[in-house]
Amino acid sequence: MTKKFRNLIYGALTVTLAAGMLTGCSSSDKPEPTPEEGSSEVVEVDDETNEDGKLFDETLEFSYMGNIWGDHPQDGNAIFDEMMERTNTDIDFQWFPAANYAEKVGVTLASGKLPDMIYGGDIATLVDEAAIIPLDDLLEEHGQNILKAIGEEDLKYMRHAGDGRIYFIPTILDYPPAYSMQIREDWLDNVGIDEVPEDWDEWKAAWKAFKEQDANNDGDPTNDVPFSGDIYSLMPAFGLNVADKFGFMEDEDGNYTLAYELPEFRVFLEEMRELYSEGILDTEFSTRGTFVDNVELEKAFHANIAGSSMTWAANTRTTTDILREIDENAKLIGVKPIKGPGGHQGIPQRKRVSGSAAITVAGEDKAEDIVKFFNYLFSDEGIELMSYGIEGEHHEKIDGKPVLKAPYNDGFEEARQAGLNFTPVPHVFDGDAYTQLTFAGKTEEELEETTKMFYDALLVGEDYFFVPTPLLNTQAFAEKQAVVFPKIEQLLAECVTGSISVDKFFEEYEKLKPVGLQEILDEGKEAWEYIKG
Amino acid sequence: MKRRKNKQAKEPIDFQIVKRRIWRDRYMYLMVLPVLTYFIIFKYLPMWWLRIAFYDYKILKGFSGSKFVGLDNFRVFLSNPDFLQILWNTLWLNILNLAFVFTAPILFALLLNELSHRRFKKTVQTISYLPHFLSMVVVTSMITTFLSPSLGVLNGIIKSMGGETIHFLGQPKYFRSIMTISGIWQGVGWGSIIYLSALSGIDQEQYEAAVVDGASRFQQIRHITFPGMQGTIVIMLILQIGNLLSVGFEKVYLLQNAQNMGVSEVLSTYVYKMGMQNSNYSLATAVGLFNSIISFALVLFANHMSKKYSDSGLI
Repeated sequence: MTKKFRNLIYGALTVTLAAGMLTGCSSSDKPEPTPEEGSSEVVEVDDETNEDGKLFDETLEFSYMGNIWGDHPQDGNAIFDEMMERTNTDIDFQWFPAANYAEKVGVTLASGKLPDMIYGGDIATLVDEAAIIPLDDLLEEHGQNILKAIGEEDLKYMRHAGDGRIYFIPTILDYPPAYSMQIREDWLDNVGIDEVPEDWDEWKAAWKAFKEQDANNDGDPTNDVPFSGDIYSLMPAFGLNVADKFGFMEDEDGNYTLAYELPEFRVFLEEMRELYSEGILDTEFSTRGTFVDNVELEKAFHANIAGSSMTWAANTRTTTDILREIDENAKLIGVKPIKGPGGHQGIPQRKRVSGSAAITVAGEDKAEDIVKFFNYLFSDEGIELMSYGIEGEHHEKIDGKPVLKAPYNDGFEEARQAGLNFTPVPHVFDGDAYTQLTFAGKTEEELEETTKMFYDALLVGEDYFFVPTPLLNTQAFAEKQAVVFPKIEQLLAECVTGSISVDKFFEEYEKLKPVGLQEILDEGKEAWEYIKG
Repeated sequence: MKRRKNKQAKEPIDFQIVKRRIWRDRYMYLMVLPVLTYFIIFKYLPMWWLRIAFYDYKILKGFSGSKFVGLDNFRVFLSNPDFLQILWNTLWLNILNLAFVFTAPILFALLLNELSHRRFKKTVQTISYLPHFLSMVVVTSMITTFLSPSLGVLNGIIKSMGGETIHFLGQPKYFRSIMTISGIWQGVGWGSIIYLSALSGIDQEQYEAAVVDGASRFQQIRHITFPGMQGTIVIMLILQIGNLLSVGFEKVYLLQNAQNMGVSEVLSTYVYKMGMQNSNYSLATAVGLFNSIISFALVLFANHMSKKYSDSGLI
């Protein structure tokens, strides 16, 4: 290749690169709105259907991005068809797996091509990026059913910590029982303990017996995990009422704070270190547990190596059913929450208002109609459709009350597969429908043993329920949490496993304050005071 | 000499000759075209977006709606209390990678080259390539299951031999070994291909002459085989040094947990958390740019040293 020719190639490449860069520049400086293909004009209807009994005269089309898990059907279902038929809407659902959904939202945001509605995601980031629109006025004008269902009290917690506005339409389930402390009753029998442990010392004695006496009777005394799961689920026994791995809670004075800030946390930490060193605490506590990875926790229970945990009450039934295929005596029961060394006892109740979908800037033009659509879902007719399905197909009316039919009343699995209790789409799930599913179409007297165990587990801790403190997505939290919280998690794990001392934990914890932790605490406290009024 | 070069440079380009040559070599250029297009689209054009690192960039507002913050993002990263730890973790993993994962395919290729039974050699080669084709998610699931203290095979063996179970992924001291050993397992076969191709280019007459001269097998490897691979090894080494700050993200991230985070947090996982999980694209880009600049400097340094001591290099 001659030098002349080489220079020519260099020149051509340079021009190509420069042209490409300029092209990139010209297209990069502008935000890229989502194309609104198929956008249609709609007739304004206030909570009323038209002559054809439909909500909109012309079809309302919008796209909806959400995460999906468990038994929820991805490819449509009769209830959704009915929902769209009644309202004259055409929703383009885009479902993604729940695992790594937050990253998917990030990638969608980065692409600039937003759907009209987005379920989940980090609200602070979405607000900060101006990707979603406030709904206060729209809800006031067209979403009275939604506001009524949320209620004054919960509406306060739905407000964005940064600007006090409402950005989401939620899913509502007014049925507080969700979790329970659980223990293998057959393991207690195997180690000769007659009474279910209640206080901290009794629990420690039971755990120790599980560890030392091969409680699962498999001939291997080393594989029994007395307490399986994460350490966060043990915090309420120490007066630290947290319900996730971030650790935010309300202190005695009603201030928004972190569990690590309270004196009780030191006692908790000392105890966890002791449990770990004695082999009582799950060695895999940082990778499995209700607030870390529930699937992994279930695997441990199904493998017959876990003796106790604090987890979803439904696990008492599923785990027992599975274990009974190999051991007919297996019995995982729900018990009262542990009474800690300081006399504290608590178990988080289900958040009444959870999940959430926001209207993005791409759907701003049709926001009013989208709110009207959800307002229909929150009406009596909509609630009945989403909770009980279609009359005649999924339920029948007995004394004017909807009653789920078989096989949809067999349990949550069957119901969800049919499109009932579809949590990734905002709606109200009726508490009575929840009870019907729990009872699987039977009366309390007719319940099978494991279903009865599930029902008992739901209610056994009722006297000790606490309302989980919401996670406030303040600006500081959005910006600093990725630096601060993984570090706290790491320090906590290192301290529990004995790699660092308790003092070292607090020393390192304090070092996080200048790099964002203090800001998160201060902004959270301020936002909490504002929310609580 | 210098004057002649300058004179040549000033000569007008004869486009007729250029066109003729392009037409003559058209198929070669056609083959290069997809690669060239790939590099322009995926490597050069995205460089324009590196300026995100100097903004508080908001995706939907674009550059015009985002605030220019200069070097603030770099300051934030460098003032992170874990900055040195993250850098050290990244370097350590790569040094181990260089020492073991990089050298294993060379040794493997040498060993394969010495095998005379053709069918056995092919079988070993094929089996050794297999792990390369497994998705990283599958590989990490296999590692996690295999090493699980409660349900893992390895701990089952340890227990059957009277030992106590070990939570390998929960103890920071094992993390780097797990990464290195699994890296060797995954890459030894695939990585050896390039060295085997280098070996196939060695003139067989050299071996025959060495046998006549009474050279032992080891002497043949030392004086013929190894020098024959040297050029390839040097190039691969330079490229590898350029990656000293780039640990494969997926495996580290998927094997990471709170208990091993002290050694498993590396630049790529940090960038991912900042960019994808926290949507802080500016900070993530700043860290990525920092990474690239250091890597580029390392490649130049390695190339310089290589040329100085072995007279071969990339540039």
